Amino acid sequence: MPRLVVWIWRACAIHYAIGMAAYFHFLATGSYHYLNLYFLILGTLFFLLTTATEFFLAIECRAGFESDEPMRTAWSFISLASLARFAGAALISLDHWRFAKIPGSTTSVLAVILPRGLPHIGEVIGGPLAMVFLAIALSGVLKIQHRLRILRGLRLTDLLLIGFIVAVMFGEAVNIARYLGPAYPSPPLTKAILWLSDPLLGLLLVQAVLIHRSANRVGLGLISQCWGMYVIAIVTTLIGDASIWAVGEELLPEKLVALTWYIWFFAAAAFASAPAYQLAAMKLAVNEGRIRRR
Amino acid sequence: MERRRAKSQIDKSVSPGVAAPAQQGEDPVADELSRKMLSWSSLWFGSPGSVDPSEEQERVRQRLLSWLERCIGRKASAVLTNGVEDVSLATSTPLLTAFLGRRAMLELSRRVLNEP
Repeated sequence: MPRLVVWIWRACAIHYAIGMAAYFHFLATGSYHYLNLYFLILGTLFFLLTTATEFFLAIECRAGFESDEPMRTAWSFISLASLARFAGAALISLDHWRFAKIPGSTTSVLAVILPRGLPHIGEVIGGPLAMVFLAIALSGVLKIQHRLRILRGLRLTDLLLIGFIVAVMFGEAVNIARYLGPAYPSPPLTKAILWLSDPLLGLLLVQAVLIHRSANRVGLGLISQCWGMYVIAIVTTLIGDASIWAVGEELLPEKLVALTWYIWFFAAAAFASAPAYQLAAMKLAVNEGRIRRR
Repeated sequence: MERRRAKSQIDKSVSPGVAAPAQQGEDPVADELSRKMLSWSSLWFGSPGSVDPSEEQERVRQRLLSWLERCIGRKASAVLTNGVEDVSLATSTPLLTAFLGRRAMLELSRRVLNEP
């Protein structure tokens, strides 16, 4: 496993260990104090650091390809997707700090200067916009795999999975249509854009399954593991999305609701380690040469 | 017309060997160059399945297989050709270049050909 990937998952494991301590405190006492502190400070820091790491690694991967190589375009869009996730996390975290008190002052400076719609803008940038960029990048990768004849068609299980997702999305579309009726006020633009998250996530899942099949076909080398990490990240995002739906429908008990918030850290770590695998593969020949020459 | 005539003149002037191949042993420099080119092309393209590879060809193939396994995957050679014995730099370059980039592939080719 590349050293950078080891570091990312080590940081994730430490982060989870601290998070679990906060969760057990919540289970024992019923108090949200430490859980809130954990998500507000460490959680925000983790998201910002992983998305920033992903962005810089993706930019490095992009630089390894020349301007006429198709993978450069794919990595450009992956860089944009990670930048969008970073900007989204930053905007949402700024809003979390809006009501934080500054010593010696009754109100926060952020509460005065930041617009109220900030978290919605952050959700749109870090959600649907990042997904659109990633979908464009993965389309490019699939095109290359098709050209090289390593792309495999969908199996029956894949088709069943896709059919299930389409059915769930259709159900959601029916729900949304209800809220568009004359009895409800017209939704704000950011909310309407956020409705696109699930169809986009469905598209990403189909792409991820196709890439996963091809990766299985060539075996688990560094490049295959890079795309495998994107598959894991997308599937984890989908699970996180499903948990939000389950919480919204009040299907989970209160003690389990807090546990669903932890899913997003795993997705963030998977997103960050994907370009680390690609970079390790690109640097392998160069670095081994240097080691041998020493 | 003029351009075509000029091109054929250039061809004759820079590559006399193509127009009238030198007899074996007549020009030691051309012989050496020809031998080197044959050796490099056999390393680059590998040997067809029916022909026994030389020791050097086999070493290059093993090194390439090891790089393919580490960078792409254990079964990458099966996707590229019908059999492991047909794997060569020529057959694996498109896949490696597409996913690693031209610069990394250049370095990798150097390692495959020159590593002891």
